[in-house]
Amino acid sequence: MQAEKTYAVFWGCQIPSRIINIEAAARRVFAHFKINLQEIDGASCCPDPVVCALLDREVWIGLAARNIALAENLGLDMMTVCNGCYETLFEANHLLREDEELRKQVNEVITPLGKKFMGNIEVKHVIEVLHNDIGIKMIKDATSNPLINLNVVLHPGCHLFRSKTPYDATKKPEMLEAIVRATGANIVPYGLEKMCCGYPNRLASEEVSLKEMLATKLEKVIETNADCIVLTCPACDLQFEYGQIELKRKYNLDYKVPVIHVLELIALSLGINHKEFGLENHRIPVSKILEKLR
Amino acid sequence: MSSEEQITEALRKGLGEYIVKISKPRENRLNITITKEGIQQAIKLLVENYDARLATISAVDKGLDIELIYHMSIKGAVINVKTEFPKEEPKINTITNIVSGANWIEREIMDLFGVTFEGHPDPRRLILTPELPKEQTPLKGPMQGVVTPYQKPTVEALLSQGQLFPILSVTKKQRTELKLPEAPPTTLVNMEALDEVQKVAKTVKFDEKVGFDWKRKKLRYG
Repeated sequence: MQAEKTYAVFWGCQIPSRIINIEAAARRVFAHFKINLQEIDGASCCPDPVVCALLDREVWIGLAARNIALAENLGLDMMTVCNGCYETLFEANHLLREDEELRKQVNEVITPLGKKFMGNIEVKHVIEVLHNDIGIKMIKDATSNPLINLNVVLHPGCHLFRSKTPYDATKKPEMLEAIVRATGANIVPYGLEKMCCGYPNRLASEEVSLKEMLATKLEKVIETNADCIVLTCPACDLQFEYGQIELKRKYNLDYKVPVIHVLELIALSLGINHKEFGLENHRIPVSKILEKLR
Repeated sequence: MSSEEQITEALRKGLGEYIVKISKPRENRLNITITKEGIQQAIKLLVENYDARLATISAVDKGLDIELIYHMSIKGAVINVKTEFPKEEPKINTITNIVSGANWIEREIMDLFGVTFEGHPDPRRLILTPELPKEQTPLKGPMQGVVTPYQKPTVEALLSQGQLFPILSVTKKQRTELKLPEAPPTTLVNMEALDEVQKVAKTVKFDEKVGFDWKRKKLRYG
């Protein structure tokens, strides 16, 4: 049995321009499971939930509403592949549905553009689509190359804890765990899974972001002797990869821990050749992962 | 109709499109904000029709703009005529041809804030020594807005391209090698969509709030 569904896919700014291997893996994984991805013509930045949302709430929600309205026009639920985009679009969708006055104000801004927020679609994180639409069993059954020799640590990323109620906050991180287990990979605990990677702190203090946050996590990861970090967020990916390069260059701290997105992990478990989705594009060499696949 | 209401009405009629905002914060106070092009007309209207007296002119460094407030006294009431102009071009018409007593006040503002009062009959330094370089204006600070240096790249990219990162030609090549479309159909390639994003920013006055220069596609500071 195969899943058959179409989503309006929201790639965000980082994946198509800086980490294209995630996009390539996503397209191959979803094609395999017969999930169709419909591009959102005219999408803009979500906009980002750190700088823009804090600087000006009006422009943040106005642009988010425009993006959601584009997906609504397609008559499709939206799937975000980026944690930050999920934070913005999920929250905006929720706020605009709940607050009639806000909805009216925002629609006054986007109606002259021929757009209207209706509030009739769901914004989902890619993890929810993998877990709920495809399902753990299907991922497990489709695994032609179980990653039983691969020991991984998880970094869910802060925005993956975003939920409608505080009681649901750990749902998606738990989904991530179940998905990773379905690929056959072994999850190694390291105790700092819920700690931020430090990406947003970079904006205020690069030293704190790298030495106090990223390096603290990496020290713990190293102790586990895991083969790689598996994550779900492109911003975290950049922090872990470029951050490790900077830690070496600026502070002589050398970790070389490979980092991959959960979609790449699934692609490997499906037996898709790593060259097909550009796994080697990662800044931190992935040879340690490839050795374990043999 | 009270005299303040009469004055408000006269200003509305007389200044028309120069008016940005009129407010009455309390009894005997009227604030009228106008574009700088209307300054002589506003002062003339108040002086000639209502016998207004210029109490003084205040100058305020607002970070990106200089604000001048012309405090006009009319029989115990104060009409504050406010106007702003960008620090990059700190020029405004003199009102000395209407109120000769503005002469020294404008010269003082010229000294301290570097404002040029066009048409001033005697634009010499007043309180600073003539030897001091013209660029040294003690009360005019550097260009400063609400966006901090670390927020700047995000704001500029969002407003100029609707996305935070461009897709470089090397990345386009890599995308093709991985059988991906050259670029997703975002505001980077869909110019109508980019125009919509910029219209949203303008409608909510985000561009004004952050001090974005649409011609240079950059913030006016930092």
